[in-house]
Amino acid sequence: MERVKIIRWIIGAIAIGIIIAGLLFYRFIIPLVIISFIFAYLISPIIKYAEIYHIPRTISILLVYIIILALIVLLIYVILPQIKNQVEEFLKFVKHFQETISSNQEITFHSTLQSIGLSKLSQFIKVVETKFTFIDINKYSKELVDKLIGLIGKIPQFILTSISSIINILAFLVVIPFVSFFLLKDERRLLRKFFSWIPNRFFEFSIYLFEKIEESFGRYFRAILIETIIIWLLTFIGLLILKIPYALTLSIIVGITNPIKFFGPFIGFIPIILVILFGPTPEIYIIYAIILSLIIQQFDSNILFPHLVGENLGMHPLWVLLTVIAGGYAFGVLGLIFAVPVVFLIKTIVQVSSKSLKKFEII
Amino acid sequence: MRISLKIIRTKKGEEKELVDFLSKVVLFKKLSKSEIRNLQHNLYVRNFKAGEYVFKKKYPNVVLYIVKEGELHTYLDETNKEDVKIIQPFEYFGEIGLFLEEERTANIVAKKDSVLLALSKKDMANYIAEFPKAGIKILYKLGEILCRELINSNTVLSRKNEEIVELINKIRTKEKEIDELNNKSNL
Repeated sequence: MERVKIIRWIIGAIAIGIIIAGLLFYRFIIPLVIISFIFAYLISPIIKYAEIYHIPRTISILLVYIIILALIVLLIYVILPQIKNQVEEFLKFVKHFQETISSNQEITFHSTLQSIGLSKLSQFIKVVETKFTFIDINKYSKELVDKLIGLIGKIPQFILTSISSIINILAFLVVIPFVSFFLLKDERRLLRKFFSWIPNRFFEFSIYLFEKIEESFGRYFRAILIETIIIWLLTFIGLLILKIPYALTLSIIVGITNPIKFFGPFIGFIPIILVILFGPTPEIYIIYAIILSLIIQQFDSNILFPHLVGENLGMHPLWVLLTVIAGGYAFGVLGLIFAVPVVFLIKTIVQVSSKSLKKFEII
Repeated sequence: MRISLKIIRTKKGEEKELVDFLSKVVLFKKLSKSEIRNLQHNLYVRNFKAGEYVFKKKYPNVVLYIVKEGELHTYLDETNKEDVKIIQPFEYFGEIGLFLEEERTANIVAKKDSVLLALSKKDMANYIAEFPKAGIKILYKLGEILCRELINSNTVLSRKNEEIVELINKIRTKEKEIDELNNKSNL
């Protein structure tokens, strides 16, 4: 008996050793596999939909790949040059702004306010300054502008560091479609294989858990993707109607930042305000842009998102807010975007498990 | 090469055997071979040892099981463990799970080593979406079986109702007789 126990311990230790060694060996591939899973997961409904029309999985996957490739080509040849032009113009404009500030040292907070038609506000602040001499608005505004210029100056460096990561991304882009292809092609077989490893005692529980998670989280995850595209399109159309320059670039920023709960729409909106403030567009367009943003936000939060998800998140707004902040602190921009979905996934797993583990008499 | 060919041949053999088996199950009798072949991709093969529980009463209703091999017994009461029904190969159970999120109504235990084929609600829904004609055939058959069971239980119920009425009448006549006897004895 003792000998059997010792052998079991040894086998267990070897198994854990192999798993750890395997994880260490494949550690560079793990993020790639996770991204492939997410990619396959997003495409999977399209493949399933194609199956209704008896299109073989291989063909439908290849068709989706061709469409994605066509979109990328379109992006590179049509949209990217436009974005490049717009970004270049925007940078030129920023540089010009920088030069005017540095050449004209006399430019002050008050002259800026007067130049944008807010002379009354300037007068009011002057009165405040004379009464409270310790307040030096000019000093504060100059510090602020200096900081802003410093930040803008860092942009080229940021782009340079991004290039090396772009190369990494390109390497990823070659491997991910391959992994995703096999994940999608053998989806059912892989799922059956996975469930065949689960002991009878936990089989029904795992099917139940999987289906419930798929029901709520799957719908939520895909909803975010559709939401991003719709918001991008709506903003693009809105900006075109308002004739605000750099519509494409600005609307893409709004689309990408939109999934960040609470802060997203505001972060995405800042560049629009800056373009109107410092560009040729009259300042009154700030109000139009705010109205446009409000309409889109209201449409998104009251109609689009509830319609796509089918229900609310079941997370208190304060919890969502704290999750976004924590995600941003821990993982930067990615944390801002993915913190809420990941927490929502864990919450769904915990919630469904705690209920069903009791029902299945596992705990 | 020879080994891989052998594996393919065994896999094909297993697949053919499964298709042949499924075509004899009442629910799928009207399906064509190709429809059954597509259906079997949605099934999970589960092996149960004698004495092992498939599920217990009040567990959530998740999957439908089809008995491929072995024998299972059903009982309602955990303490009594009196056999309500013995489930044999080609029979199925847990069909309620395909329609409702109700709890299991009985305990099922493998009497012998058994092989079951499990079909989940979601896989069934996917199959119906993908092969609507085959899905309609299965649902029609299930409807037919459930209607028959409903008619049977109605018949049993009405028979029991008649028996109850008969018993009540008997009780009433007996009560009358007792009353009459009481009256006589009082006199």
